[in-house]
Amino acid sequence: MAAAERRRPENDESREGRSDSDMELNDDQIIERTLAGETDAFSLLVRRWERPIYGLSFRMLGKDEDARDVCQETFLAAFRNLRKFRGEARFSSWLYRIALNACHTKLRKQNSVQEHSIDYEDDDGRKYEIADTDVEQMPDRMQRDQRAAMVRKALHALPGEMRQVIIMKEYEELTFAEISEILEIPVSTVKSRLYTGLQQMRGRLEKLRGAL
Amino acid sequence: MKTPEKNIIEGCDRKEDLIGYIYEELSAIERSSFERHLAGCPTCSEETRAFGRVRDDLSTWQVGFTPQTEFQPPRGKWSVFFELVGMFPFWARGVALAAAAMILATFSFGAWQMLTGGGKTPTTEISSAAVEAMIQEAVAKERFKLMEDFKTEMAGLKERINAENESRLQSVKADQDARIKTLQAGFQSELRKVNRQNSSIRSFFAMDDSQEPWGGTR
Repeated sequence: MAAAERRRPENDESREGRSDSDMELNDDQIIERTLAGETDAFSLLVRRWERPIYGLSFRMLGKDEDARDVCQETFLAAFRNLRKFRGEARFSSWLYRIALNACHTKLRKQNSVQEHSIDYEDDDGRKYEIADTDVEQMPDRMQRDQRAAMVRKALHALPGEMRQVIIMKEYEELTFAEISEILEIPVSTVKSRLYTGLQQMRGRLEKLRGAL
Repeated sequence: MKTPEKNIIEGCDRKEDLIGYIYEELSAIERSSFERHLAGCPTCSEETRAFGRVRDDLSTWQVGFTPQTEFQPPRGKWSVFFELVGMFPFWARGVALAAAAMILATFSFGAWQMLTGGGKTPTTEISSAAVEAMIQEAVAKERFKLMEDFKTEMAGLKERINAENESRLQSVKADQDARIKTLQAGFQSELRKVNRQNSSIRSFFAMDDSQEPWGGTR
């Protein structure tokens, strides 16, 4: 199964008000319909791709509000430039590229990558702190949250080019070829960046564990 | 010192295969080849296990909700306008329509007044080409006028010269006539003198031979 197909959201909410035939349309068919004047068809693409784009943006930027902004900007830019999309690359690759550019723009505005506090806010807005207790004694949920906080901190301390490759591979489950297409770099460079990124993550996570 | 792009496993340069292996993107042949390599390479084995742990950690950070992006395709200006109009009650739309009609009528009347000369002179924009044409026309008129003036002046000058010449000619002629008359008078005087001399000579030769010129007889 293609990675793009695997990543399609299947939540019921996205299907509300849409017939099954609408949801079965592939991206290219929806683009054709949108360009033919059926602008509402584009919302199918939004529903289909908002979760991956949001996930990528959230992990790149670390803030829900920023990720939502990038999500909005990405789909608006895609809609406005839909005629420039020539189908040479996959629509999803094109969309990821727009989202990554928007993320980088936002990061530049924030004056490069900031060192994030080891405390963090979860998806529901709750604040977590890494407690100074023995990890082995913590309940599972809390331990998992602590690990997630460490991952988040370690990931955000990575150089952007490695962070984006790790996010695309680990969380978006893109193939090396797809990442290569999105970033317009050779597959060997993708692998090299991923390897170095994982090495750095390993070192940073070990340090964070040692600090607890 | 290791650089990010050139980082290689110490003593082993199969990092790309290692990455392909842990993400299951190797072909069957590549996979079995790398597995044989792993069995004999403690560095790659250790890296594989360590990366597995990192991936396990990475999997703990999940984004568990969909953002529900509110996307409205940008609409045309008229669509927005009609929606805006639809927000007002019927009577308000009627009042707005009447006001618009009155404004339109006022402007139309004003325009009609200006076009028919009833109002102020309408200010119209003149294109640069029209201005150029107007300038050329004015220059041509001025040039024609100058030429006419020049011709008139030349004709007057010619008349003056002719009159002066005529006057001089008359003067010279009168002078010449006077001289001729003087000469004629001179000639006539001389002629009379010669005639007298001739008659004297003729009368001398007409005398008898016996007669002495002094009147005696021989």
